[in-house]
Amino acid sequence: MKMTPIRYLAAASLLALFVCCSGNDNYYEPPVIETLEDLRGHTVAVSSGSRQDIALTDIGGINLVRMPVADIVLTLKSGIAELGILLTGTAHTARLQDYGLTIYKDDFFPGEVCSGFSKSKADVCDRYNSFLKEFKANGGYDRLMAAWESNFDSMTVTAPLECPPLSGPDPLLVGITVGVSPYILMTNGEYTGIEIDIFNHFSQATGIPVKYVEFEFSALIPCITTGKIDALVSHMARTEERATKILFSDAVLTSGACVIGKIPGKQSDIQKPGLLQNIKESIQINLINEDRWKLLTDGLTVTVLISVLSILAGTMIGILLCFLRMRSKRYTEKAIGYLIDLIRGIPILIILMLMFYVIFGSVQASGTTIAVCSFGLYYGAYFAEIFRSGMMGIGRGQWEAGAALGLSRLQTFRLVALPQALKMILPVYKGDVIALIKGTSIVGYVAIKDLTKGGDTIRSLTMDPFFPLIIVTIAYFILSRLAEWMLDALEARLTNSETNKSHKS
Amino acid sequence: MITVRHLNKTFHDGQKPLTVLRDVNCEIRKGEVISIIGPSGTGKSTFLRCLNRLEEPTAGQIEIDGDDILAPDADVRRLRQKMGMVFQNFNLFEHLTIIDNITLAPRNLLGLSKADAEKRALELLEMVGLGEKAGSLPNELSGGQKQRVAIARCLAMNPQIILFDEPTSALDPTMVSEVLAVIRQLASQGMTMAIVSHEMQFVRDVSTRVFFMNDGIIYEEGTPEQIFDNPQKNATKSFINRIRTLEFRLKDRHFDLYDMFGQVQRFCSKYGLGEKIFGKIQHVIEEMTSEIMPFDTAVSVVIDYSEKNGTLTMTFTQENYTAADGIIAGADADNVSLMLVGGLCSEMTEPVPGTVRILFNA
Repeated sequence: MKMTPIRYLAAASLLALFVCCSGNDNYYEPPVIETLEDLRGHTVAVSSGSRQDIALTDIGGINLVRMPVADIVLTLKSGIAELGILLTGTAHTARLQDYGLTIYKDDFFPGEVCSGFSKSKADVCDRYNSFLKEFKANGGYDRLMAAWESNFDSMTVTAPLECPPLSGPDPLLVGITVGVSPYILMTNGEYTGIEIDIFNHFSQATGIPVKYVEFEFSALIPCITTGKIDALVSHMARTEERATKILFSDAVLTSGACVIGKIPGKQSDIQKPGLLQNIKESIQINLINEDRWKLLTDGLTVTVLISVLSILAGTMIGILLCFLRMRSKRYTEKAIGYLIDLIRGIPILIILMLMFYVIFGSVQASGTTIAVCSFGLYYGAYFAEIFRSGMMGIGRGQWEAGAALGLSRLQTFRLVALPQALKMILPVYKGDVIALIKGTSIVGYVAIKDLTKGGDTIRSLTMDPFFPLIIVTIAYFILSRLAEWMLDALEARLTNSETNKSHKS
Repeated sequence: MITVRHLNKTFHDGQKPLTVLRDVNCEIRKGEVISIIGPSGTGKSTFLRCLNRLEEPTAGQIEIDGDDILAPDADVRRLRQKMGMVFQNFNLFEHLTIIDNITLAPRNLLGLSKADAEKRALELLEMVGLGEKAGSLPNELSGGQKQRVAIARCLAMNPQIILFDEPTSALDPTMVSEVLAVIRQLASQGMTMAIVSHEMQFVRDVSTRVFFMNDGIIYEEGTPEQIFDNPQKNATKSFINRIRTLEFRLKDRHFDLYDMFGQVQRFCSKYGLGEKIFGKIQHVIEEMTSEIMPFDTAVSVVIDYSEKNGTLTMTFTQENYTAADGIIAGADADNVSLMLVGGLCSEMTEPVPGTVRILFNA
């Protein structure tokens, strides 16, 4: 029993290493890519929703694999796609060589990106446009670009934070998607990058306080239309369809993209770092540089907080629903039954989204609150049924025996029914609690920086496909083992309190 | 001690309301051992459960020591503390050891200290012969042992009366006697008890009075001798003698004889009557219906089998029989059919003209 977690970890690590190190000995002849049309007929991984995605979709005939930025390297490495498109800055940041990849064509197709604003913030959009004009005219823009050009270190992304945004009451809420190097980044816990810097200059110049909020790229526009955020700075290209929902600013800058793919030549000749060297480097880049481990520990704290509060809320909701269902008249009982079925019939992700966009749509509630409400409600419905089945397992005879002795209903519940029901409830409850803890890994969808999101942020900054995932996996594993262990201890205490009383006389 | 008047209990759970107790009236005095017997489904258990309000009576009055226990402000919990109940299925608390089963109520309701409650519990366990099982869990005990623990659990509350709801019905036959022995002991100590039971010999030995319940009322009551040796009413008689009945009404001589034989055969096999007696019944039916009964109008045939006495009676009645001399007396002395029937049975009589009774000792 004691060996199980260790064996499990060993197996997981071996699998990961196998995937990392596996390669084949074939000679690889890359396709010649000169124009966008040359991509036709190839399988190409592209960041979904990005301007490259839009441009390549327009070409047609390309088999596009749309992925989050952080997964493009992984897609190529695992052979799902033959070619990948990364922004120039991103491609230079990623340790492509270490994964047997290289850049085929740099600065391939430049395009303009804009910032976006809520339609109700047209005045701010106008001020931003005039700021951009002046910033480009007075040379501020060129200075900023030059500073990034000279100081940007592709390995560590230790770019200078030229000026911070103003903070203040009632700030402009700006949605961003971290990991579009070097435009939107996170350095030592601060949001940086060229686009962020430009927006910070705007904040300084106009005196508008700004607060950045992280979202998935695909969630940004829904967040603006539902009023969660006021603006977005996320390397977004303007399309007619998007323009019906939000206001786009004038072009902020032009960025280029690269085509990447396998290093040409005989695959076995390609120099790769040794295993130990690889792990050392991964730790350095993913955890130590810029204190990136803090993203994981902060995320872990959030995950634990959300889990603990959700378990408490869910348990209370479960007890309440179970009690109502068991004590009510026929119609209320039925209504609660349908409610439980309804909640259990909706995917937790949808409940989370509904809470975020609809129920808490116009209210500024913290992400933790939203997550706890969603998970509390969802698992409350499951717990209610677990508790009910436990209580139904207590025969009528037990209640009658208590009553016949003169015990009140509450006394019979506390002394007779509950201890027996707990024995039936706890094993199932334990499983659901662990499912809940692991289930919280989806809260990143609504801009909560939990453990999974922390790992994803690191992945999008370092473009390392595996290492952060493995660390996150281990963390979840330890977390669920810990929870199980604590519940085991609770179970043992509950059952011991009865058998301790055994009197052998 | 307990006075019950016009007690009615109607269940409304199903499609139709079901009246289980129609009008029960009785009195139970201190020190009495009341046994309640009767066919299944006549409300014996319901009556018992109404006494401590595990079932809510629909109408009527129950007074215990002069207190109306059906009054809205009646203290049901205090009432139940004074009234022990032993269930058919024991209902021991499965998660607690034997001694904890017994001490649970005294500690929580009588305020006994753990040590005092356990001391008393051990005495009671010794009394029911299970002193060494104090630390066991209920599922480690046999059914008879469980029921004895359940009795000890009742006694721990020092009840003034104990209600036994079919205490041996769920037991293996080999374990019945150990439980009955404990109840007998309690009876000899003067404990007031009301017992629903199907153990007739036990009821006869232990009771001071017997209630025979039938059709939702106390149909007949009396001392065990009155009820068992000299029951006054027909239903009581047939219950006490465990009489099983099969009835036919034959419109004319052209009835379906083979259908009738089929029913008789099922009846015989159901009550363990052998092929031999079935053959005799067949012969008798054939002779009686073809030759002896006049069949002026319809003839009714009743077969009664007393499981207790092992006797089978066949009664043939000619409806609207008018002749004064009777069927047997009026027949010729050398009537072959009558001789044949007379040879098959152990006794043939005609108590009323037109009604022939034929007796077999099965």
